[in-house]
Formats: sequence, C-alpha cells, structure tokens
Amino acid sequence: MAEKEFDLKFAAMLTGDKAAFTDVYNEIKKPVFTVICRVVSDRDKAEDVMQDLFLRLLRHGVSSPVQNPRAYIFKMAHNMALDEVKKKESDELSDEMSDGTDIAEVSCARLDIESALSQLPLNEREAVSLHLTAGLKFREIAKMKRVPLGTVLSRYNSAIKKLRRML
Amino acid sequence: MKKILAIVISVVIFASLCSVASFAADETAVATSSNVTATDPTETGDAGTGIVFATNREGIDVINSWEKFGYPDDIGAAYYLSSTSGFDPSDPDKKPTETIEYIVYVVKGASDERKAELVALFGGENVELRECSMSKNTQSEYVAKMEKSFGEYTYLIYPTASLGGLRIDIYYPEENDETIRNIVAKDFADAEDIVKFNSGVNPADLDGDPETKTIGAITIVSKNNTALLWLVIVPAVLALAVGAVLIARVRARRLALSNGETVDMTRPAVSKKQVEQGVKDSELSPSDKVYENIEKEL
Repeated sequence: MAEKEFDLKFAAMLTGDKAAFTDVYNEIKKPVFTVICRVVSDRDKAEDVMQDLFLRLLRHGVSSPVQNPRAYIFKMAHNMALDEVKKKESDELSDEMSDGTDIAEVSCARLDIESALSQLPLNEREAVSLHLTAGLKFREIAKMKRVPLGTVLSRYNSAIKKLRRML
Repeated sequence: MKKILAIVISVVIFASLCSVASFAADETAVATSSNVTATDPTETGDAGTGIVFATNREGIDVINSWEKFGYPDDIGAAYYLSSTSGFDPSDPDKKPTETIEYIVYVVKGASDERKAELVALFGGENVELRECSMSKNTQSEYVAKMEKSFGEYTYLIYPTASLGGLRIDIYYPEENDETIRNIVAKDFADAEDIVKFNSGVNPADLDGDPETKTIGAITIVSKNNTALLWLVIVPAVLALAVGAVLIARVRARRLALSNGETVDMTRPAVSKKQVEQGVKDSELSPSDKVYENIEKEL
C-alpha cells in the first residue's frame, strides 16, 4: 500500500471506518507484531499488546494531528510493549527475556535471527527492530527514545556486529 | 585468522606481481583526477620518437585544468587511462599507437545536453560517463566542515574517490567511537548518505602516504611482451587460487528466518547487508484471534 493511501486509510479508521481498519491492520500487522514481540519476548503478551494498541486507537483516536501514521503506530506499539515489560519486570518474564526462550528456542540447533536478536540488550534490539522492521529513521528513533543520534547509531552498529558474530 | 592471513598474502603477492607486470609492459599509464601520471608528448620530447599519439588528448588538459582551478559543481571525478600498443623491436618502422580512454563521473540528474557537452569536451571519443550521487565540490565542503568539527580527530576522515563514485569514509578506532559518532550526529545529521563509518584504522595512516592512497592507481597491462607477462601472471593466478581454496574451507552455515525459510550461508561471515536483510525479512505474524477479538470489542 502506498504511503498516501495508508495515511488516508488511517484517518478513515480513526473515524470508525471498519473496512479501513481491516486494511490498515492487514498492512501493518506483521511488522508491528514483530516489533512488540522483540520487546516483550512473549507471544501471548505480544498479542495482548497488539489488541490493546488497535482498540486504543479505534476508541480514543489520537490526541494531536499525526504527520506520519505508520511511524506513529510503531512508536505507540513500542511504548506499549515497554510498558508491558515494566509491569512484569519483577517476575520471571525478565528471566525469559534475557535468554529469549519464549520467542525463539535458543536450544534449537538451527541458527535463528529471532533467537540471535533476543540475546541482544533491549536498547540494541530496539534500535535494530525500529530501524529495520518498523522502517523508522535513526533520527526518529533518537527523538522517540530521547537519546542523541550518535547513541542510536552506536547501539545499532554494535547490535549488527553482534548479530554478524552470532549468525 | 588463517583466512585473513591467506587473503592478505594472496592480495599482496598478486598486487606486487601485477606491479612488476606493469614495468614489463612497454608503456601504460592510468591517471586519476588527483594523480595525473600520463605522459605529455610536448613535455617529454616523445614527439620525435615515432609514437602515434591519441587524437583525443585535449581531455587531459581538461582534467588538469579542473585539478588546478576546481571542478564543475556537477562533476564527481574524472579519470583517464592511457596505453600504448604495437611496439615491435624487430620492426623499427612499425609505430606504436597510443590510446586514451576517459571515465567521467557526473552527478545524477544531468541533462542530455550537458552529457553531450562533456563528451565533446573530452574529444568526443572513448568517453564513458558514469553517474554519481555527490560532486567533488560537495565532498570537499563536507570534508572541510568535518575537519573543523573533528579537532584532534581530523586524521580519521578519509575522502574516497574510486571507480564506484565518491564518499567520505570515517574510521573510528573503538576508543573514539562515541566521540566521533556524537560529533557526526550533532553537526552532520544530514550527511547520512555521504558518510560511511568504518571500524578500524584509516588506511592512509598505515603507510603515511595519504595522497597516493586516496585514489588508488589501476594498472592496465599492455598487449606487448606477452611472453614475459605469462611468467608473472601464472604465479599470480596460482597465489589467488591458493587464497580461494583457503577461503572456501569454511563450514557451511544455515540462516533460518522466523517464517520457516532457510538460507544456506557458505561465506565465512554474514555480511552487514545480509544481517540487515535477514532482520527485515524475519517477521512474526499474530494469530487471527487478535483481529477477531478487536472486532468483538468494537
């Protein structure tokens, strides 16, 4: 779907157009779900976040005009996923996150991009996922995470280096 | 480690043998926009020696003039390749002939009229126009700005021109990583397409001769003295073959994407591009339950 068409469908979705919601959802469901999964490291939780995300958008709309709807959805998805992680920080989820056993079986003999990603620190995983899967520019990620652009670039390069070694 | 050593040894042997080969050839020269080395008949007195000079030599003056007075804003780089063939010591009446070819990098978007004008400027024959994303002037401006910002780290900047176009390489040893990246992020946020970050040491620092390293010369082997050249080329090819065999002795690896597809990786290391493409392609899909639940809730 072209970017302009996506923007129009997004605007229509916010006014309650169900067909537009279906189109937007189908267009963006995979990368959004991937971004959420890589943060929460739990498929069920990720599906809950995904559901909450679209329900929130459909029920409450947006508080101010959105210039780039696609980026907006990814930012929202990422922030909601982080909130989910914070909620569960004290229990066993944090242990799962560190070895990524839920999203990708590390014990499995095959090398898997998701399992390699799950072994990266969260901030490096975010940089890779938001840039490559969500398609956000480094500048946008820096603004979103409120860190200098150089920090994002450094995290990204460090993550790619580690992935190259792991894969 | 063995692989790296093998590659280095092979390349060094190949390069040194090729440089010997260039001496064996009767006359060959390659000139770049910043390293003009071709022979000018009026300066060397070759005019009376019986060489048939190329008729499109005026292009060399154009390059020299650009080097001296500055490049046009739509030009990235210009090279000329000069070679002489047909020399036969047993036949003094047979005159060697010079051929000159030009490669000119034009910034993308140049009009057909401008391209035609450039071809004419270089004599109209043996001119190849290639597109590039940045002019030499733009590169110089960025380098000057960077040199101001980098302060003590100026030595990490490495303006590059090659047959692939122009860019600015920045080499950052680990200890300077954050400092350099912070400077670039702060002052050169708009230069993402032009700047390339490289981990390691600026190659210009390795031999202390940045001028000749900036644009590498390419050796074109003349067609003469082929018997002598075979003595050189055969060991060079053997050296490369040994390197290739060592490089090929790498365990095959499999890259599995989350969508179930697998990619066989026969190279020793996955490249940055392959990793990036792999991450892009590796998408997870939510179950249909999510969509159904949203619809129910509405």
